[in-house]
Amino acid sequence: MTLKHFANDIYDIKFDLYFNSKLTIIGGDSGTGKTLFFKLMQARAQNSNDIVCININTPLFNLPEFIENNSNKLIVIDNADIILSNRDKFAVATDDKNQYIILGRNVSGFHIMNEQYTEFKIVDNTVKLIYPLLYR
Amino acid sequence: MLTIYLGEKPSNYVKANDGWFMQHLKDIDFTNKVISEILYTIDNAKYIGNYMIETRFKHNCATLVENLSTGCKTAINVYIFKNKVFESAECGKNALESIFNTGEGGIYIGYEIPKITLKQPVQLINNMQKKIIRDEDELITEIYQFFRKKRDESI
Repeated sequence: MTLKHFANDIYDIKFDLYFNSKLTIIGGDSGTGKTLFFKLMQARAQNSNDIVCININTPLFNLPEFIENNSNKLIVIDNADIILSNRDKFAVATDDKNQYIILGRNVSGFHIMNEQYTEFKIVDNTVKLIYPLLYR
Repeated sequence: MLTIYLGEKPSNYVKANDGWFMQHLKDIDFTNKVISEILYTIDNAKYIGNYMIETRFKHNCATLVENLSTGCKTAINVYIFKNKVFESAECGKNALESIFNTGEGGIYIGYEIPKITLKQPVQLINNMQKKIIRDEDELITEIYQFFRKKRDESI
């Protein structure tokens, strides 16, 4: 996995995130820092060829083709609920060469396991990843 | 009354809430009491003037309203632009609660949402069939049944 831990303490609310899977879908309440996290990853991507950030502003992008031709990338996708097609989701779900962090709430089409769906929660002024489905 | 759409998208549907919000900033009065409540409830943010806010991520530091969450922007869009129907897919439960409690405008639901407490009736338009719903159990049942049927049809 390209990213197992992400930490950032320049804000009044810190980030301390642990990733356990090659595909992580992050939902949760609005305003918990998902898009801020995406912007921090975009900043990292500027100096790394291994990080690819995609959101609604990304010019037309053939994700299945990109996945087929790349490996060992960290692919971070914001606005996933409105930009990913079923074909894109299938390509992500069946890829084991790259790591994905997907910011979105609609898990249909990803065929995920419980431990792959998580939520941002602010606990003690720190954004953490909580895996709610594991405890239901 | 809030109008909730399922199924067929109406002609006044808006998919990209961030873009709409940024394009129509001049139509939004951020000093309005309801908008202030939306900012605080969803993002714990406070408007400080000149399209700047203070958020919980950086106290005593101004940042552009552009940095509000998409859920917060959606709730503001729904409240201000009542003749449009906004996509709700990027709203967390807290943003949906704010939209349902404000009780005006229109949203489109493209996938199953969590149960939201209804403090006032809503109008549900399921594939252009209208129905007034006063109870959250009835609403969530309608939504689940709609998506279950859709899933069954796709198998």
